[in-house]
Amino acid sequence: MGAVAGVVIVIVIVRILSGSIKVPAIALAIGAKVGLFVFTIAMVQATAPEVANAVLHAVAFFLIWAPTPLLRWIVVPLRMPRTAYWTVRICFPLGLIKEIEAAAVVYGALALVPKGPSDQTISWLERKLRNAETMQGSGVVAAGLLAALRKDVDRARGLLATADRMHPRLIPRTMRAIARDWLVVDAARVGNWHRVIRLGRHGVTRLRWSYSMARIGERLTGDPQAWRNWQLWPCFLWAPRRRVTYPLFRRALAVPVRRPVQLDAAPSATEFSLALGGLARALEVANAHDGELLARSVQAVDRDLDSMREMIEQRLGMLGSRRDAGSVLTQFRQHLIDLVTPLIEDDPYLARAAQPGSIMEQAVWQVRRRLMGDIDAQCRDYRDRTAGESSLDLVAEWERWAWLNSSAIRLLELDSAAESVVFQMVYAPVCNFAVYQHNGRKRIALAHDMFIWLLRYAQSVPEARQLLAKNVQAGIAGI
Amino acid sequence: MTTGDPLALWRSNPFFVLEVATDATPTDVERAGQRLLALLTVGSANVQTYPTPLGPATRDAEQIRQALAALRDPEQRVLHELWASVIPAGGQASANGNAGPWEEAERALGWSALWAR
Repeated sequence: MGAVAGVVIVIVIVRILSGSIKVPAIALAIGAKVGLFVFTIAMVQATAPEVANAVLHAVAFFLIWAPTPLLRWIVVPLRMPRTAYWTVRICFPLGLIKEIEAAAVVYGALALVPKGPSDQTISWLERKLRNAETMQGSGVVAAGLLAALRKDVDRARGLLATADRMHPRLIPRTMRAIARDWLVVDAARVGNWHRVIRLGRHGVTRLRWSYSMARIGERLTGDPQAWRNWQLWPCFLWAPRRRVTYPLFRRALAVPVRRPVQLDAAPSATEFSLALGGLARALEVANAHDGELLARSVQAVDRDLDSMREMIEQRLGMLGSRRDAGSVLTQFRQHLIDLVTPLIEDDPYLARAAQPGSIMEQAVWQVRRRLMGDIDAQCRDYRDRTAGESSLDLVAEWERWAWLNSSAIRLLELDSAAESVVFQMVYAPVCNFAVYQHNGRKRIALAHDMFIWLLRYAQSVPEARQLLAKNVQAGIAGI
Repeated sequence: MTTGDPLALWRSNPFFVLEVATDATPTDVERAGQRLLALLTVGSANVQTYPTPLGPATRDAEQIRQALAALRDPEQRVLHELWASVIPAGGQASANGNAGPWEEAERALGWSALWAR
């Protein structure tokens, strides 16, 4: 009887390994863990004395059933990147089973943070990530963290933002939290509270710390929807990182609730020099991301500039020039646009108060043109590579996609009316490239993310919507 | 995200770089430029930084030469006169002083000093 059972078990194992019986990875991992746990306990009981026995029991329990707390509370704070990597690889945390190599790199990178980035370890982790068989959300988070450790903040921002907006099917909750928390800190450290609020209010998944930070941000910016103290306190207490966040929380409590938004009085000085002073001040505090203040200051300079025409003509005459004041005024306005453009490029939200025909709007058009150029270049690259059937390695491909994504999202933040234009631009090249990645390269997760993203903006094109919905379904089957 | 200095370009206004008034004569401008170049050549430490109404800035010989060239062109000079006429605004510019940057943000993740400045 026993021999027959043994033969059946061997047949089942052989069929699972050959792929003819499909078992979800998570079921296999649980099975393996149960087996390992029983085996370890049996070995411990057979060999160790009583006290050591209990300790070994606990260690075996944690390593096999709860490796994530062990990683977070012990291995990462102890600054052991390679140990963190191998702990994930060996212990197989159940929530990260789909992309175990990438998740191992994420914990390796996190353990490297308090230690201070070392080139050698970053390169080692990068090699491990490149060798990963699949790359979904955890892989993108890993690539983002490694870029951040290399101080390539733009690339890190693009990758982590891509990970944060991914469908829950592609990214575990813990990995999304790592990505979003980094983005929240990246915005909060320069006082971009509007971005913190948008990140925290994210529709896909709510995460405790980013949600609490968004509520704090609302109070700090005097948002009319800001919560009162009694609502804010439980939210703060429920979120992690309370000790570090407490001073900021106190700062938020000091801001009166639901006060009317106090806009500075429009710069009343009609004198040009004072208007320039106001502009300098607005640029200086642009990190407070006060778009209305910036728009009003630029408008005041622009308005007062025309009153300088006579003075400019006099000065040109005194200096022996025959040119008229118009050329100086045009150049001045161009300088003004050049001064504001990089700020809008960094934070499109600053342009929300731009009035039609204003200098700010001209700066918006410059940024818009540049972003359109970026998107077009990337689309051309996708078109060429689809035709030539050439692909980059998986990490580089996700980086390119994150870059296109972030350009498109910034463009839509700047001008939400451009949605259909952007969709028309990206639809064919991205969809065809995604099909090539799906069918030709079996990079299902990357293609799936592209289809989902396109589908979100395809609402006004029924044929495209149908095709994309079908492609998304095909992706779900493959993930 | 803004990490660069948005006023850097403004601080490099030729009048600020040469430390001359906007009504200075062309001779005064040339003299100021040559004096600064000479001081830079002998390695005077004080000459590398200069005050502006928008805060201090640093200069080198190339910037001084560019400033001199810009002020020799009447149209460019008038343009720079306009920018140099700024009177710094005092007081609180933002609607809410509490909404500034969160200095300890990086500590929340344990990422202190890892963000590129």
